[in-house]
Amino acid sequence: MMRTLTKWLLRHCKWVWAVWPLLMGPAEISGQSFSSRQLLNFTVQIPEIALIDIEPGGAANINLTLSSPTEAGREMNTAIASDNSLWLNYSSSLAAGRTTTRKVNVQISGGEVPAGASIRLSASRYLGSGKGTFGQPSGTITLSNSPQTLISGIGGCFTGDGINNGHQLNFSLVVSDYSLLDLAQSSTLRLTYTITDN
Amino acid sequence: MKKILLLPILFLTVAVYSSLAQTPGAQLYVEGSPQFNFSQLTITEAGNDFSATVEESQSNVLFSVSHIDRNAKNFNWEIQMSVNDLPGANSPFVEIRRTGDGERSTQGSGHVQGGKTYQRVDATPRTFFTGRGGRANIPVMFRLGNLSAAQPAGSNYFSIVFTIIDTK
Repeated sequence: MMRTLTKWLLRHCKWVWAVWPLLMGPAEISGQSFSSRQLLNFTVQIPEIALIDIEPGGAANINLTLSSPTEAGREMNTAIASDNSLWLNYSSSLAAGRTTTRKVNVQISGGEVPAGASIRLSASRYLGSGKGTFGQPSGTITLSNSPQTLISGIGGCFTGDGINNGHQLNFSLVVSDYSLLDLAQSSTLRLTYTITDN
Repeated sequence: MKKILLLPILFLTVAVYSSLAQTPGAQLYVEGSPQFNFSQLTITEAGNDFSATVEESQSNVLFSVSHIDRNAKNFNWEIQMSVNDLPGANSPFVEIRRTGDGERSTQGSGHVQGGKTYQRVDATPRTFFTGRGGRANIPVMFRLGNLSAAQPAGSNYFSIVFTIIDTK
């Protein structure tokens, strides 16, 4: 029986060798497809953002008042000439690989400071519930019609919203020249804060 | 004489071929791509962060499972997932869940189980869901996590690997 089968195969041997690669090919393909892999590629775009506001929202007006001294020869009473009720909030998202940061400028954009007086402003270090790279206060500035840097070095961050988040603003009204003072004068000023790229 | 010696090898090869040709082999097809509503990635109040997660509003990716052997009906399989290029520890990540059972296919009615809650995809392959038999158009949904203004803005590239494995 075996001899008969062998003879038959030998008779067809050339045909068997010819299809040998075909026999081996499907075996390998079958082995590869035992498990199947699929790739899913996609891209997510995170936008650049720069937003700033003053809190508490809707009540960001303050009053600074100089009053007369109660004793002749003494300086002006500055007990109510300062305020620290306002907070500066910001959200800043920077592009990947960017080496520059952002800063906050402030300037008087409406009204005039009463003659003989000036307004000083400083920002506290960051406080709050935010996350990221916050800016650093630039120290005390005397407000003018020209933009001045209040905070610099802002990276990707969010300060948290509302009071007690961000940088507390400390305003003070001081006498710069007594000879020019007019206590009857009152003035309303508008300040503009701008977050800009460095 | 030489040809007679080669005969056993020929028999062996044919036998191996036959065996492999009949080996069950589940196949996975993934169709579509995630569609996120990036209008959620806006900040309307200074001081706030982006919404930490962004989810698809509907399933835009469909999985279909078939078998290399068209007559196969009750083969068991498992789909594993992993991410190819793992972003940094504080970077956005992807979560996936199955939102439906799909449809019956030409290879039986099949069934699927697991994967109905969001699972984070990371570098280690882990089971997404399992099933039995052929199944078509199984919907899956994607969600992005850890999105923050504190992260660098720009493009975040994700490459997710899905692997189907025959199980017993």
